[in-house]
Amino acid sequence: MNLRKAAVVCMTALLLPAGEGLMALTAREIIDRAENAVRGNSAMGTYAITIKTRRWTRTMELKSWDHRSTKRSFSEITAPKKDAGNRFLLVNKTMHQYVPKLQQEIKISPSMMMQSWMGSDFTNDDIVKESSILDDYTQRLIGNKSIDGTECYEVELIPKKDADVVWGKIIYYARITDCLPVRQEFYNEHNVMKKVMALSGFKTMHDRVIPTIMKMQTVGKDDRYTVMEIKEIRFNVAIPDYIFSLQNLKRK
Amino acid sequence: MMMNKELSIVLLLAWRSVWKNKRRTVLTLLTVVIGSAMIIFLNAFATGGHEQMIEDAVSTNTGHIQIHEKGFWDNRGTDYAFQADEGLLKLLESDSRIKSFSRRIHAAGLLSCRDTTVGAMIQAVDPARENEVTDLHRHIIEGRFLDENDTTSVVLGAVLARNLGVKPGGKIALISQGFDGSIAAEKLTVVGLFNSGNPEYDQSLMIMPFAQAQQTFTMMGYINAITIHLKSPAYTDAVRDHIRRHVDTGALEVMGWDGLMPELVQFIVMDDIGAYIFDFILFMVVAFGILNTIQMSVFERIREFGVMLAIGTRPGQVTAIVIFESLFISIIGVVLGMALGSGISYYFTLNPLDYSQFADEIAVWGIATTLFPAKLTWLNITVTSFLTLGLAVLFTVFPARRAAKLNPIEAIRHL
Repeated sequence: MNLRKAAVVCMTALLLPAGEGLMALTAREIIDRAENAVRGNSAMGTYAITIKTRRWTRTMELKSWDHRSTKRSFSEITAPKKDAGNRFLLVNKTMHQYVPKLQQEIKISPSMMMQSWMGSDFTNDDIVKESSILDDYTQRLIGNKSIDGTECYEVELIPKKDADVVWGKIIYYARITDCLPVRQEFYNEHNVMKKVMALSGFKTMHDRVIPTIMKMQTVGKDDRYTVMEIKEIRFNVAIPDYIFSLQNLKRK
Repeated sequence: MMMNKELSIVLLLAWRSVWKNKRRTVLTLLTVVIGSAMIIFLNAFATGGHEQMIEDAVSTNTGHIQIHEKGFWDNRGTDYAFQADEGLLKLLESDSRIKSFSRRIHAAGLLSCRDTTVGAMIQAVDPARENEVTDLHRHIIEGRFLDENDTTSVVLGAVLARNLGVKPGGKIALISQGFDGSIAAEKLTVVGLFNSGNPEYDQSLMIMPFAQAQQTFTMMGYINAITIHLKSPAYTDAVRDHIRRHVDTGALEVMGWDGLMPELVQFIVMDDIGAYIFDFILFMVVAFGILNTIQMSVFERIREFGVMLAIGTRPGQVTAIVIFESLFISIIGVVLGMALGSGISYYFTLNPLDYSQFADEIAVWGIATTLFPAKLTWLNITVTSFLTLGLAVLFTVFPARRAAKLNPIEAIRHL
């Protein structure tokens, strides 16, 4: 992979010796920039997740620690009271959920990563981020497209053969100006669009501008959606190892 | 009187010519007998098999009729729920065609035992009533079914329990989502395992008590389904329509087993089409067998017909003689065929064909039935008999007309 990346970089450097600003970005670079901006190497944040179904709307608050480079993440529901204390840990590609009512942790097998997280339109994988759109997919720039008046790169992500992901294809729209994601479309293996995530609320959080509102909708289920809003986030902070431990998951 | 005498001569001549060439007649008879017997048996076998498949599917879990909030059956989400009001329950209680009914809660969730977590379908039933609605309690292979005093006791499909690594007496954890969107979690004790023969149920179904599920899933009095078992499947459409007239069909869906299990209906339709094609081939074999015999018999008797026409027999009478000849053969054949076909069918009614060796192959179709009995119906026998006779007459018209149109002078000289 690194060789290939190096080759791409060399080629680009040779062909376009002009200044960096004028250099055309490769699809991988677009995604790399987007992920770097949105997730950093690590991030610590507070989220409000609102799930609207045909029957009810409820908002949960979630605190989350995400260490992208080591693929570890930890999150805990802090509100409402009824669900507070449910925790989710991703280490060694395995997701664990701690259920305070049972005082027990439950191992979520990799085959369940694509199932709905807490009845929302997000999957378990969307929350704990086991898969990586940078490393598990090959990126290809299809062209440019205007999404709600914003000029965007249209990048097609196809899973690599050995990657353990369920989507057959993702179409990723990133703003041309700063590579921030605006919209993501998730397709199944039969090339049928299943989910759409619209990103908005671009503002400065900590040291950068990011989209703070992510609205996920399942195609064909118009009466429901899930909105994740970033309330507060800090990037590239040192996260102590004990955060990502089973002891922390199960602490009383 | 004249007519009667003429008819009896025609019948006599026809009857005699039936036995003029015994070997050929016997061979033709065999074609008719075996053909019609096979058609009767195959139809009886299809009818019996289909009824058994429906009965198995209905009695294992589905019931004859279910009532849900509109959209539940397509989405199967716990949030498609309704409150069964007094009026509806009274309506069901008072209907004498209903054997019993049971309220249910359906959910999807994760079951966990030590390090293993498996996705499961959760179905909460009223243990006191469920035994009258379905026969899952008869498929318990280890432990016991739920009873009225159970709270956090559950029954699992045998394959599901094996995948979880749990046995009766073992504890499992359930996490799912409540009706209000909150996390539903419970520690449960496995008290029994069932083996229904339906791979989907055995692999993924967990049965828990209704009252406990009301709490676990924060149902607040809502339910997902009412499952109804009728005294006879024949009442399905009438009772379904009766319920529909009394409930708000904008909010609730009332579905018969055929609507609940469209894949089963599709399988039966496909199977029927296959059977019709086979029936058609058999009918054609029989019809051409008769045509062949009559054709030969007419061909051999050209001189005879020539003489008959020469001495004043009317062409219509000649036609009638030939047609009656074929009718006699077919009637004898059909009567014997009916007896043979019914006999074989009855044998398989008493001794159903056992497909259990091929259970896995059949399961691919979502069918749990392994014993296929035959079922004779009057419709089957009547239709088969009359179709055979009708075809026999139809196929004889051509040679009969040929005999009638013979030129007597030429026919007499025919060798």
